[in-house]
Amino acid sequence: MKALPALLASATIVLAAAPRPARADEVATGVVVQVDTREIFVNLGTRRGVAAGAPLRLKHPIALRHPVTRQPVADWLPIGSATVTSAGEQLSMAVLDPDLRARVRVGDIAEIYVERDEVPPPAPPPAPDDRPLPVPDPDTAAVLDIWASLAGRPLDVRIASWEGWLSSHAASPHAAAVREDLDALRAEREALAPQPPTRGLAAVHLDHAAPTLAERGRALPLVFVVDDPDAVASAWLHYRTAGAATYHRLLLTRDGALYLRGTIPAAAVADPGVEYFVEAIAPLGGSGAALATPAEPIAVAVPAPPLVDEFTATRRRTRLTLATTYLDFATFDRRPGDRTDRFALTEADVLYRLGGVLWGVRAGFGSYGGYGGYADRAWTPAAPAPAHGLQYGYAEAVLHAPPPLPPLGGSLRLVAGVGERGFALGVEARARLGAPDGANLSAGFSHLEAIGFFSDIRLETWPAHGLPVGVSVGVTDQPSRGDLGVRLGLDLGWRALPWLIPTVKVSWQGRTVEHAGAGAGLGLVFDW
Amino acid sequence: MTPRIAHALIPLAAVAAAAAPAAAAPAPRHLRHVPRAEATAGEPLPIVAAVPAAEQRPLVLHYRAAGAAAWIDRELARRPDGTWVAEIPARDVAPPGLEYYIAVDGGDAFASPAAPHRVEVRPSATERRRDRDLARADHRRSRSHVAVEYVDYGSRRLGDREVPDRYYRIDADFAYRLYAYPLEEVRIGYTRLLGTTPDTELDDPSDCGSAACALDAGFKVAGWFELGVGLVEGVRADARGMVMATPAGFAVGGRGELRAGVADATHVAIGAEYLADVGSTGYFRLGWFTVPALPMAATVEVTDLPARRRATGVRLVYDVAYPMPGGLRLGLRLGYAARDEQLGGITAGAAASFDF
Repeated sequence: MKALPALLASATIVLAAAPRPARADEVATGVVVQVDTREIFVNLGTRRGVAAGAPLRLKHPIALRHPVTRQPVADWLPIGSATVTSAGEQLSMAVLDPDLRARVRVGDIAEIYVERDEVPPPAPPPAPDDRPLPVPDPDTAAVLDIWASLAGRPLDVRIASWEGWLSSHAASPHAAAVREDLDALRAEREALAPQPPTRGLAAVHLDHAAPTLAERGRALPLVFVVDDPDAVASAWLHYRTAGAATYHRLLLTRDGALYLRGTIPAAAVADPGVEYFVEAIAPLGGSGAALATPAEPIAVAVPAPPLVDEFTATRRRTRLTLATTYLDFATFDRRPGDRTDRFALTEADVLYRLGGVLWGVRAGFGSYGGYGGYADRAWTPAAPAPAHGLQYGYAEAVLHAPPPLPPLGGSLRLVAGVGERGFALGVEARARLGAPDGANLSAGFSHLEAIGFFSDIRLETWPAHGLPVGVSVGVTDQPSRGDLGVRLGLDLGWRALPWLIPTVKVSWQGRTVEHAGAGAGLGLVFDW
Repeated sequence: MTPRIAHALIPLAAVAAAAAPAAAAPAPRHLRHVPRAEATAGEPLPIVAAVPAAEQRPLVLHYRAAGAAAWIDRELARRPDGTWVAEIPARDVAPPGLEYYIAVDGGDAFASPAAPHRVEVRPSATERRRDRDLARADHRRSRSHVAVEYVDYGSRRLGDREVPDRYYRIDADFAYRLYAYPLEEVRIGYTRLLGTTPDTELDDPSDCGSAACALDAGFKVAGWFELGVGLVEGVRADARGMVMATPAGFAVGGRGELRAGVADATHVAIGAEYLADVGSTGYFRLGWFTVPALPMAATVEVTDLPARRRATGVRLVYDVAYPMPGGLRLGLRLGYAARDEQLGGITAGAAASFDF
């Protein structure tokens, strides 16, 4: 790589010193047309004067945009140099060392030094342009100076130079264009060298008084002090919420010669903490961790919100449910006699969503009344259908596994009430697969003292927007702990308003083929 | 297009957009100061800077409390080791923080008046908790409270007698929020509970303990003292000790409540109360403050009040309150009470409290 400029310089000197006609050496330019395991082929051969042993320089073409004019600009990046191993009529071959070979792609530029005896006709001199060049402002001039200095420079140097400029000129009118170009250059670097640059320790040292605590949801400003300002072209702050797999990064802003400033965004400042390290980029493009490391970052604790915050008044946390259900087991019973077998249930409750493992808490009141409960009994005035009832209140805990655990949950309800024999207790347990407020499949069992049990499997889903549907299959011996019966239920809701869902319930239930009936109900759900 | 050509294509617009560089006052280029991110309240904060020998000039520290308008100036003094130092006095290091910059010869050497460096001054965890608790209490530490409640279980027909089953209760108390954690609050109060109830457990006339089968129950006065202990912020245990003169004589009672959340707003609570021969109560309460300005609560209560001899009943109670400006808070209570499925009655009540 270093030999070629010297060779070209020597050739120029020789060319200038020799009497005419003299040798007219030239640099033939072609492209890499094929790459193999170790060798590459270039579309330049003996026809163009290429011979075995000729110096070969390889470049990668790159399309850029001018930082000021935004015009497209073709430039190149140096890849390396080699020697032509053999030359055919139209193609030449060069064997490369493995590192260089890995960086060469088909389409890269190949320049081969060619010795010629002929003197090429002199090119006509360009027409002089007497128009005065405009005088740029200092900001634009600085951009243009950097731009001019980067022609033909490696990618890392270009990136470091632009990042360094951007870190101290974030408010420049050219900053947006430079950021855009930096993105393109970084993408190019990723494409050319997918392996990240070596993350060694940077030569530069940063002083920093790290905070020990940060407030959740509040941006965290940080200041770093550089020991050798000339050793840093730019620096990146890498940060993440503790526990996150990857870091985000932001370019630190240069403040004077010694200070680098950056602010971790509020969104990343979350409990249990935030972690960060600083990567410094040297003027020649090398990079390394200058303060802490990805594996051992600086950790700032972010205290978890107090439990009481879970009870902060927030909309959509509270749900009021009013529901009434009537079930008749004898609607379709055509046998003679009074086959009364029915019960009705009305409940009103409030659910407060906490959102954690204890997903919600519910408290409610209910009234239950029923008659009958047997498949084959006929009632008479002398032996009327037995009546059972319960006025009760209940408290319920709704549990749900938080992400990333599977969406499993359940609920446990304790019931206390009074029946015809006085104080009575009950319990209901339900296991659920799915979101408590969304589609889910659940299985439940409840038992009310003196009334009986009810067990069901229930599927709740939202087949269309604003249209909740519940389908259930249940077994019960209510209202008298009598004969077993089956209940098939369908609940159909409609989100009429964002905070209101009226619901219609229909059901079929029976204890035998003959002893069956229909049921219906209404519900209202208010979401505050 | 080569970079050289592109260089020559600078649009005049870009040139015209040039901004004149700000005339920055001369400042030591290498003033070295490692700024603190946070400080401890009530402790002096030293500001140390180092300047290369060639750039030595007097430095001035300008600082102020975060949010204040005026700057306080303090000249940095040179120490024998060549560094410069000034100290922000302890009295000025107070939450929520302070801001400063360092200037030299009128120019900015570190940060600037427009973009000063901010040092967070955090109170201790206890002080932060106290601040939050006080904010929730609207910075009022005292509360006077009175509540009146009428509970009717319906009238029982026992043989040829119609015996009422009802009582009323008055609670009046004064509370002071100490926030001396874990002790958050102390309350001292008075309770009056009087009623009439059938003198039988299961409404069986043969079980009556008197000819009238009616029992005057309750007590005219009970005094009590309660401690509110904050287990953690938002979880509170209240423990009350009571002394009373019941129909059976002097008696001791108590009450306990475990609550998560804010008592006057959204919360979940379970509790129990023991009033000797007057009876016992267990309850679960869910309060929610979702409807603006109208905190509500639903309570399920299992109780045998006003006489332990009575069968256990259930009360279902709904509360709504209306906090008013100035610390006054009014409340209403409605509910249903029953000892069996056949017969029940209403519960009604009102409450008022004043925070100051």
